[in-house]
Amino acid sequence: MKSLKPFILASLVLVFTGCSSVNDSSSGNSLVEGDWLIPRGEVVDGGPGQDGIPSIDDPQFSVASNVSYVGETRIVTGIKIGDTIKAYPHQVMDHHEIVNDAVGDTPYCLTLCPLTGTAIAWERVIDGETVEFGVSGWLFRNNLIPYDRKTGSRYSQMQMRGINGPESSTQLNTIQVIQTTWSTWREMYPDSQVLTTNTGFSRNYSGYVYGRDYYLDENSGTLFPVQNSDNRLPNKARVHGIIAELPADQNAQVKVYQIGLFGEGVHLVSDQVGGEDVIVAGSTNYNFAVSFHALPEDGTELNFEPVQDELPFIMEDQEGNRWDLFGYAVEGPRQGEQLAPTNSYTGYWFAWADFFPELSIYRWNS
Amino acid sequence: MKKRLTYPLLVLAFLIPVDLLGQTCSCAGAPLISSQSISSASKGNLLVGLTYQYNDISNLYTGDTQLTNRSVERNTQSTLLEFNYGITSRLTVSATTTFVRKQRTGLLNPGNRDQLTTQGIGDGLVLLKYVLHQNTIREQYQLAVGGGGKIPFGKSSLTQNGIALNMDMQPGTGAWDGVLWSYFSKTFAPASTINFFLFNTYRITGTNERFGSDDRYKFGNEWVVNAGITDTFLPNLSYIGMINYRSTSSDERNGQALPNTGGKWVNLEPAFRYQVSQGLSVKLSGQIPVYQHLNGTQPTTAYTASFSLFYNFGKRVIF
Repeated sequence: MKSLKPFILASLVLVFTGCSSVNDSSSGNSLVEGDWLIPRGEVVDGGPGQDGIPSIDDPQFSVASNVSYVGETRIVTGIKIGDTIKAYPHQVMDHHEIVNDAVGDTPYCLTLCPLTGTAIAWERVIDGETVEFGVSGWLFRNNLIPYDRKTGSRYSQMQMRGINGPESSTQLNTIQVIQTTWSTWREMYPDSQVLTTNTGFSRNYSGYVYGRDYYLDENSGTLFPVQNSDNRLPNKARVHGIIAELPADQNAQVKVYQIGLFGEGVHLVSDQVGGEDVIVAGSTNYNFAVSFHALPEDGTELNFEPVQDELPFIMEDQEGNRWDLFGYAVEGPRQGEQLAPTNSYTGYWFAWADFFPELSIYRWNS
Repeated sequence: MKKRLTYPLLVLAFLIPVDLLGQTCSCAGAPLISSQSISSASKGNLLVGLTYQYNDISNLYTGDTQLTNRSVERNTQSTLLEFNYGITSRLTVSATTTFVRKQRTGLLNPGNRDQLTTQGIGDGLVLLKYVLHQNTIREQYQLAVGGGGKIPFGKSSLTQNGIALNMDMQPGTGAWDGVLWSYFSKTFAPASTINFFLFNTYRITGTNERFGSDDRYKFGNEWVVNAGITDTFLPNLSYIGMINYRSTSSDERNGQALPNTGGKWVNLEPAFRYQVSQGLSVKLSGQIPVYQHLNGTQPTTAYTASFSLFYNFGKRVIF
């Protein structure tokens, strides 16, 4: 009977400690506290934990014409700040999701959520102090929740605002970015700076983090549940969405433009979103879409016409100005002027529909 | 001669290392159950095993390439209590319960430590095992087959302050699984005291509905093959050398394969066992990965270490 004791004891331990438990022994800004601006029940742990997907905090760049690791049809996200133009291939970004970078006096982070296909950049300054952002490890409706390493606040990437912690409700100061294919980008900006694979981490940068199939139009699968499923478009159709006004919560007025329907060459759409005139430029074969407020600062009504085969020029107007992909007048009397970017970004349809269930789709005239 | 045969087989029965059916995807080590370790119990005998296993899941692989600069450290600690009871001389029922503790620690931001620990009762397994051929002096091999089910006792819906934790941090799977099992062993008496064994397990996984009834998650089916030898080299002290092959298909969500899940592993599993008394034995074992080819990029086991107690209640085992 004596020999039975260990087993009896073990059985009792199993029975009486049977209650499952979670112990968060995190410290500092890793703790989960406070209220959320989004339904907490829809926030999920993506698996890797905070910083389990490591941000790139010391990004290295090479001139585009010297870069050979990026596939021709792979997507890159580009940014233009002053005269500096940079590109961030998703082949690298998929593994890190956040790059803490700076151009001149503008520190910013570029964020990419591979699951929703959304790339958004914002200035990384809080109370006058430059801060780093990292990957919290959580997701809201499949979308990245970054956090800042100063206050520990969490942010919704697609809502572009703080959602938990001291910076809750703070609207992020975004910087316009553009998604397109590497072949298009390299042709447009051969002298631009391109993020290299010298990230400080060894990862398989030639592959697809979530499998090649995940990114295909015909693959409707998502890794986590979709709350507001909308079958008007294929889940993975890439769309450019414009949010009429902030905050970008579920009540926001949103309109999306399917990149696959712009057609060959550059096409322009003059439209209204939330009562504002906007101009949307896009191309199916070059795989991009961008949008701007149609009226320049002085309120002059410009009549835009698309420019073909001269990327990064995308349009010209009756004054003789030629505008580039980032909305800058690069030739003509308004040279140096920039059309104000809209609150917009590009991503997968399912994510747009999930975040903004009341959104509308631009109807093309057949 | 009977004693000569019985003792090695008793050793064999107890020694075959616990093989944890890695439950998830990424971690190749979220433990489920062992219980394939004992081929059979003689009629009326109750064999009880208690195992503690530490699984260090700190390697990071993409395909068959190890990645450096890992950002997360994980471990899973499991306690398994298994019962094997001989209903007849050929039929044995096995039942295993588990208690699981999982820990995930971020490595990149030490000033703000991110550490999460979950624990709770894990899933259970019930198997019926039938000996098709008993080992005899003239025909020195044993062949047994079995089948049963994994029962989702463990919670699969733990949250961290209301935030749903990932499946690889849950103690349970939330799914009923079917399990098929077979076992073969061969002795070579009187020429040698070495015993050879081979057993394999196939798990046909069910689905859980942790995000609602219209959202179905299915872990990948799993096949585990173990082959090895065991022998006594000092009085009451035995060794075992085993090689383990494990293959899992990708997990699925609503019928679609999920990236970064599934793969193939080959491990070496050395063990030592000491016979404390006629009924009680202890065992130390480990697992060392020698090859893995993972789908996508996944954390995976760097090593495991296990300690087991086995006790045989009842008369001596006669195979």
